[in-house]
Amino acid sequence: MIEPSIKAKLKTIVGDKYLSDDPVELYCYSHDLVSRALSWVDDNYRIMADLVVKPDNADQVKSIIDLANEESLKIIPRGAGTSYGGQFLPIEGGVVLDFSRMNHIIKIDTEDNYAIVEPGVLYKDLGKVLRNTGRGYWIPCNPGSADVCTIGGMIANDASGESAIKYGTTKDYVLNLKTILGTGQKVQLGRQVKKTVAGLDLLSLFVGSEGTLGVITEAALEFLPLPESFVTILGYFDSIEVAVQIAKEIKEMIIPMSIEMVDQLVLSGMNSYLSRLTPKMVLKIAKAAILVRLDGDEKTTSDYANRIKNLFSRNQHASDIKILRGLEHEYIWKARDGAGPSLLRIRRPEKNPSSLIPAILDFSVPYSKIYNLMEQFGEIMRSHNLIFTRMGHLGDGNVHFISTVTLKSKADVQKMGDLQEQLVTLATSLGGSVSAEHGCGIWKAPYLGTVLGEEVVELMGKIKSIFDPNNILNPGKMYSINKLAIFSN
Amino acid sequence: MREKQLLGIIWKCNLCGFCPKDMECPGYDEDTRWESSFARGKVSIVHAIMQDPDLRFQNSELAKERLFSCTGCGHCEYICPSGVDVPSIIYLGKKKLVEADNYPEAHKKIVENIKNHGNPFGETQPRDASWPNLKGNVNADSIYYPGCMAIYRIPEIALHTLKLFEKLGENIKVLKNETCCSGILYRTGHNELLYDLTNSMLNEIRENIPKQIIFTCPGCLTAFKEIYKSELKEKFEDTKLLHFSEYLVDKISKLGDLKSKINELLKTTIKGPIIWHDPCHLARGLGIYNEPRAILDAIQLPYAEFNQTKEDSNCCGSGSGVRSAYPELAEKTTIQRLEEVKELGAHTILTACPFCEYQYKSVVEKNRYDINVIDLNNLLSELISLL
Ligand SMILES: Cc1cc2nc3c(=O)[nH]c(=O)nc-3n(C[C@H](O)[C@H](O)[C@H](O)COP(=O)(O)OP(=O)(O)OC[C@H]3O[C@@H](n4cnc5c(N)ncnc54)[C@H](O)[C@@H]3O)c2cc1C
Ligand code: SF4
Ligand code: SF4
Repeated sequence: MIEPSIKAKLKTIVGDKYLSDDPVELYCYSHDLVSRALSWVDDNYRIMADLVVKPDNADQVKSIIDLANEESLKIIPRGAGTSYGGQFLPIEGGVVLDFSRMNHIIKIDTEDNYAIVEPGVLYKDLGKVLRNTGRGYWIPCNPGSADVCTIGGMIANDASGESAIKYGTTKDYVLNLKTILGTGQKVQLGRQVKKTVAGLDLLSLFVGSEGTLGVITEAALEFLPLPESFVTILGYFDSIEVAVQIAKEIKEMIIPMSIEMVDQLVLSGMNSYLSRLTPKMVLKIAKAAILVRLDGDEKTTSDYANRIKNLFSRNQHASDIKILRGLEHEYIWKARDGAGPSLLRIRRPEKNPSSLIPAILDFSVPYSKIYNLMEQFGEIMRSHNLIFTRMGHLGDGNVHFISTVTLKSKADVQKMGDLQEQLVTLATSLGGSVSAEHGCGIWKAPYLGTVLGEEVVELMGKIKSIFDPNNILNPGKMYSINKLAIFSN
Repeated sequence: MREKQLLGIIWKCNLCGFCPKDMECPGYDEDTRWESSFARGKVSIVHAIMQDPDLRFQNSELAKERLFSCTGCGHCEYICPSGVDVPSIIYLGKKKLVEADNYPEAHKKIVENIKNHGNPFGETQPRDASWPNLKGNVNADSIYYPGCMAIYRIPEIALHTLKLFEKLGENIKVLKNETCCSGILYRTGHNELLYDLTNSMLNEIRENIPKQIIFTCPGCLTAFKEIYKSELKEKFEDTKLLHFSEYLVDKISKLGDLKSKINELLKTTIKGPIIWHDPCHLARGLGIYNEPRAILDAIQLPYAEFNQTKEDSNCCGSGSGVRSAYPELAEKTTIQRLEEVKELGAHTILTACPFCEYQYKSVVEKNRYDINVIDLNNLLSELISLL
């Protein structure tokens, strides 16, 4: 509960229209896929923010943070609310800071190739402007949520995706940030330069900090010239093992823009997604498919496309190899981006809620261990009679496992927790990470110690206390473990 | 659909936020951009209502505004990677609010009018008295179902359509017990009235099963094809349910050499360039967008397309009782469409839905746009007159 006098102060800061304490509005800002499902069997997951405010500029943000420090309010920054780790959940109540009004592109500089934007700008909108600027530019981070996520959310999550193998993650494009720390101090991190080793790299520390250290109010991002052409090579394989082997051979030949693998079930989901587009495109249902995307000049991409096609063709376990360009190329990547959600298209509506197993969504392991991970994962899931899918950015050892557990009672939450623990242990025993790109949020926080070492997590906590001594920013995430994230005993 | 089934559909929403946050969603509030105003938020509201022991959400003013400002255009469902049937979820939410007597005043009037007069406008006499004579044509096994909008507000549509039937030599009748299809009742949360209000009309059809029923209103066709099926288990297995454009597409040559009169039409009655508007229920809902285009191509009528077309087209802003409950919101959406028409340099909107036509016409008139709006059947009938 936030006192009326504090509410009145917040109203004065952002204006009447941009503050809501209506339960209906608060509810819309207060759940994710996991907490929504769990709330049917355990009331503790009925999370509720106290307020949502929509600041319009950095001064307003500063006033809100100052007030939060004075009145011990919790602040939960929020972009488009698309994170899969529960990053934006107001698990301790508090004030959600919605950046949808701070959505202006402030500057595009084609002399030094950077853009300055407010955090609420959509990656898609910035991409459109850059494509149409001068000779055409882009920021090739390409998360699966590229059509909807905000720049602020991407920076705070250090988002990346299918093109990370060649182009890295959001961090690689952030030149500098205007921030307001948890203390209320306004700080600019980084310079308008690509290379600097002047002092500790606090900019990199900030990127990926999930709104726990400070709030981004402006970002300068580097952009690159848009490649002349794109082409995709699609091949189907008899087994995941062969697909993984062949991806390695591609990596020895060239670093492509993407090497993606999808399994049988994902192919069905993608087909269902493609079925609504014209002209029709139908994928073959095979044990695995690999998509290799190349970008660059026409000649080089064509040459490599043919070489990869030949490589696939020489493999007796490969079939239906195609080189896709134009609309087909566009469609297949649309379907790949929507592959996770499109699995729900092929699933009948359920009688009971089911929860995504949140901490298994985004493992990464050394390349040599990918197949082991997928195999052993499969064995465990089959022993529980659970349906699961495997897809991933094979190029960088990142595999997304998607599976759900039906919830009929609280006991099922615990069962899910036990299974999750087993799967995380598998990934970490193979030298892997619990989160390759989606971030920790609340759901993966309990495993950070296992992945990094407890002493490292403790150090992180100490860093947090310098930036945000009163722990007002996004509490209960990343380095502190909230009881809601512990499913098992 | 049963509530439990619909809850299963709600759980399919993975909260990814891919659903539209711009003019693709007429209910979205672009000014304030609150989460509750686009499809993901609306689905969440219905979820909250389904988990609401103390009725906090069911009695909420904001829930009412958000759910009843959805036109049911289905654009979100089309875009949704998980294929979530958002409109059905929102209809469920509206039904729950109606149960709590928490719904717009304007809809109370519509319900009363349908109950008392069989049409949402409360009219007692059709605008034009000439066509109901067809009720006496007992020999016909094809039925024309004009729908309330064409009977009471834009009778030209019905009259021109009858002219086309005549030219095609189709033996046609209208139902003696014709009443409002009541699709609007379903779309505004009053499902429980559907059976009683349509039963005598549906009995007439069941007693004397027609070969086909032809519709000029996509909303009525959707009621017969989808709403009656899911809510009343009425499948019309032995009767074809067709939109007029589907019915006509193979017979267009029978209307005569209409293409020879296009230039004359464009010089006299219709101001070009013409732009084709895909009605949501027709194009996205029923997948009927090639047929009207095939007709236009057959008569060689030059026409432009909106930036987004067919299943991806934008809504006129008036559906599911939004026009009556939130006229300003409906008007705002229509104005966005009219601005696009202007931008694309067109002067006449051609469509095949009486609701879209009525909405466009009233906003054009109020805001003095130099734009005409015409139904496809009117255009065809005008061409016949020129032969
Ligand atoms: C279908 C789908 C596919 C996805 N694919 C990928 C993928 O391939 N790769 C990937 O990395 N992620 C992916 N994601 C996860 C997520 O979409 C991305 O990480 C995205 O960048 C989050 O952006 P957002 O605007 O939604 O941020 P939110 O989810 O709203 O917030 C993310 C974090 O940023 C913080 N934050 C937001 N704005 C600010 C600010 N101004 N200052 C400080 N902190 C702030 C929040 O507190 C939160 O911790 C996917 C999600 C979906 C639904
Ligand atoms: S309705 Fe569809 S697009 Fe919208 S949030 Fe839900 S799953 Fe995503
Ligand atoms: S049906 Fe149309 S108006 Fe309703 S939420 Fe979906 S896009 Fe918006």
